[in-house]
Amino acid sequence: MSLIKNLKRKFFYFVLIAYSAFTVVPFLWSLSTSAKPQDEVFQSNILPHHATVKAYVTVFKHIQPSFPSLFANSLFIASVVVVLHLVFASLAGYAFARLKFPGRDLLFYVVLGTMMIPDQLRLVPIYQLLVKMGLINSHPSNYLAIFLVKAISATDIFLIRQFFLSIPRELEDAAKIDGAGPFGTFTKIMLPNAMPVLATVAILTFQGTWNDLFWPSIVLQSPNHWTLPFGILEFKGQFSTDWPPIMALVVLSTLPILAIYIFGQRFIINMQLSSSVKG
Amino acid sequence: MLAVATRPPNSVAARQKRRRMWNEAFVGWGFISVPMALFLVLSVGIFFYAIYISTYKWGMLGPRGFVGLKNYKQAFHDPIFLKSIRNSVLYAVLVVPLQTALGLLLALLVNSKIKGAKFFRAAFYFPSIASSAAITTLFIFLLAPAGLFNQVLSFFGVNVPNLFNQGAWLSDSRTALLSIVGLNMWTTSGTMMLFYLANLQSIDGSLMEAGVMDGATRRQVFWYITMPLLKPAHFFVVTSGMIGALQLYDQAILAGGADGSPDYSLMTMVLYIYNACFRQFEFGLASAIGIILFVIIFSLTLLQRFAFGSSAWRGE
Amino acid sequence: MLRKRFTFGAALAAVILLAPLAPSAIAADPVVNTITLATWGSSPAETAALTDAIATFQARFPNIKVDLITDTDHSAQMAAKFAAHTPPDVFYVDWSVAQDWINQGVLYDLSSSIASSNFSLAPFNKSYLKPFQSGGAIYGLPKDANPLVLEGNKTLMAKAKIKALPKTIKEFDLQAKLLLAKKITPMCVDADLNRLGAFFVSFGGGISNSSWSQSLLGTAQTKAAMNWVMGNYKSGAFRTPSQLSAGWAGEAFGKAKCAYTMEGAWLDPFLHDSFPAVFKAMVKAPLPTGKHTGSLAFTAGYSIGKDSADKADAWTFIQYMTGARGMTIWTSQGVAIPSRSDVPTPFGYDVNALVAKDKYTVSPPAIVGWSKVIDAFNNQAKKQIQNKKFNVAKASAVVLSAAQAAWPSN
Repeated sequence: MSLIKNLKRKFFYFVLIAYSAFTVVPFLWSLSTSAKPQDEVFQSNILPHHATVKAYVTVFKHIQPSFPSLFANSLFIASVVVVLHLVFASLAGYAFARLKFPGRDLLFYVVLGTMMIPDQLRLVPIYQLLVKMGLINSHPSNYLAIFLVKAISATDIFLIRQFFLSIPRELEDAAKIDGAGPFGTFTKIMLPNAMPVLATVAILTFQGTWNDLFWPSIVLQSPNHWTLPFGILEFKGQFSTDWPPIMALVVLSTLPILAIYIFGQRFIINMQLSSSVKG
Repeated sequence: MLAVATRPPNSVAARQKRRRMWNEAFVGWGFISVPMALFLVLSVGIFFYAIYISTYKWGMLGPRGFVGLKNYKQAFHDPIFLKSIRNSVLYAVLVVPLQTALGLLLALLVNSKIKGAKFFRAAFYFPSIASSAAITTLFIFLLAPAGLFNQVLSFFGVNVPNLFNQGAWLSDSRTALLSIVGLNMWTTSGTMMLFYLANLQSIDGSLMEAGVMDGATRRQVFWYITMPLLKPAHFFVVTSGMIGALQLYDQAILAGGADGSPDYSLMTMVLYIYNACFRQFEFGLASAIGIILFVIIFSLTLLQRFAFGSSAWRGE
Repeated sequence: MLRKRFTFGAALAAVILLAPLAPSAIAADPVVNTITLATWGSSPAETAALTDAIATFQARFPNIKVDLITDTDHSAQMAAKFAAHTPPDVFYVDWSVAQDWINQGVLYDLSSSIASSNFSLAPFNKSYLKPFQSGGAIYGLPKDANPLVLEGNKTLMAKAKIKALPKTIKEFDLQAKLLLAKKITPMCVDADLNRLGAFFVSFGGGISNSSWSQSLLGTAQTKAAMNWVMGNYKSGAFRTPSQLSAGWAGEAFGKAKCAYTMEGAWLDPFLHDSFPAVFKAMVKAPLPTGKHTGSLAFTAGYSIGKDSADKADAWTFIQYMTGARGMTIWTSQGVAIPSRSDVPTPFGYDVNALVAKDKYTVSPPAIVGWSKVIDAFNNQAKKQIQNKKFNVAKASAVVLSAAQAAWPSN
């Protein structure tokens, strides 16, 4: 009996490890390609025959605007967008989940509806609007354009709302009995208990903004404002793409996301609901 | 609200209750005011503008003549457009259940007390990290006739050149869309895992313990306690997954080009919109298709809302 | 008055004295106008060549500064800028969208600028001007062009004892048999109208007449060419890149999976960097001739927007870049083939110049709505090859009905 159980266990871990190998392959492939000389890129060898750091040197030395500038812009833009999403989405998510006000359900349908309009259709009107607002320029106010476009996310509002719905009502009722108003309940009870979902929103928003090239390429005018994905363009031709530096950029820009993810996980796992009700 | 307004304010308690309700309503409106204002400008306004544009022949410099419903008629008379609806819907119907099930499975695994949970949590999330362009490029590499995938198949004794598609998974109209389903199931499962993981934390562990104490098997606890408690998460994952899937674009254009070849097997609705906008510069037609896409997504979302019942919707 | 003249004289003296030292130290005209130039992403080699050309322009015209914008999706980004009435001063226009953009009224007619500055269009190959012309007006000038030529891999050819590239379709057929006997794929070419169309021309048919007013896709000669092409895919003499596990034909050629391919000058830097051995073994010649020679050439031009802010300086820039001097610098490294006959073709690209001067080297007829015709042909051709039906009648019917829609007058 215990032998079978043991075998089952081993098989279970074998499957887990096999699947995780499958999931990290793309990253390892990027890493390997970034260390290959150009004439090995299309060869089938998995590891480079003549490993080189030339691609990384190229990225650090020759890229225009410089790597630190691209990195700083990515970090700045992604951080601001994360904060905006956390604030707006948690406020709206809570209101849609728990507060009673006229038009709530209709407005929530509107929020869902906004997710259904493809960006390709929004591109031209939004660009026209930003031009009219004077935000399409090469001054620092250009950053406002990208913040405006990215300030809110219906997905995040929806996600946070669904999370609040799953929090037991008893938690809130206790606070209400203590005389807390809606805002007090929100800040003192709901937010602390929402850490897992807030961390999820932060991770996904950071990652989405960090990798996005669609809106930044439309909105950001000056190279001084460009983000990391722009760097890839420097090596990408219609036919002759210079893969190693691109992969070096992919590897380098994956690391911060990984760091945020590992850091953010702490707030997702092991965050039991505060026991204030039971106490 | 009407019922409240008609009731006579005959007592202090009733008045207080009403004031509390209005208070809550104002707080509610206040909480959503900024996001709603931004949505109004950046999405809702554009939606109504698109309806207006869709009744015109509209070029890059604006209207070139009112055409009524002609853009809609033109769309539905184009077999390529009809194929794009079929492709998008088929893709969504296949990918949503798969990515949801895989995401839930992964979340349950890394949330349990297995050894190395931390490592697996990081590893399973990896496919979601990289930009979709990088990952699709790799995927095209792996699925090429002489790529790694076919090498593995022949290792297991499959005669790849004799397969009906000669192992050209992404460039055969019969397997191209299915390959993209496989790709996206795999890349989005990490994100879906994260959604479920967050929601699993709000489930009171004592409920499950109570279930076990009542003599329920682990399977019963899962189906009768965990799954119903995850309903709000299911609703989110399926709805947002469906909305995202019906807007498939990146991977389709990278794998099949702007023409969605071969045989338009990778022509999706959003790719069709892209072509109408930026290859044919017919914004009127593009807007009409955007509206049609909206109607399709909205009806499917409503359908789901009823399938899940109002408890998932309201969380009551 | 005297004072002014004196200042002018002093400034002139300063310019003459200082110019060799530092071209930017211009005292006479401190006003520097900045123009924006929007391009699409290109290879590092192309970017370097463009930067060189811009630097010489700025040395020549120190009061015009050029700000380079690299678009991620040129067509989409230009559409947004046109719609907002804020296009860049100068921008690239691909041959395939030029007529659409002219039709939308977003491009500026260069005719009066050309006339007033006596800029001669005579040195340009007429076929390369065609994409930018409409109703007697001209809305852009071709910055370069890239004709399709035949590239061969000497090493693979030697294995089948082939000494020289095929000069005629007949020779190609013979060589294909020799190569297939040695289990070598003769030619890698995608089922793409922008490649196969070259054979439509050489068989005596074509895609359209020279004024683009009439489709030639339905002619007997074009059908004969389609038959020959499909027959080659059937026999294995042609294979698509995806059949050879490659992203595009150049990659299959680089991996030595085929003896021949038919690409433009863009193949060279790619092979040079990624497949140096095959690059050394490469030989080039014009495409094999049928009834006569035939090739397709793809051009891109410089245009000014109707709403562009600084049209005068933009025209100065275009005049320089499409003039003999600017084009020489831009094309000297071989990133593209000159669109002017008075600019020398870089060493090693002589065959491209030969093809470029051929009257049967044509631009595909990118009339309004052309993308739909191309999509129809490519999708149907790929389907026929994938299903091993190789049905020419079907492929022909599909492309004809798409062409009918694009040329309503036919």
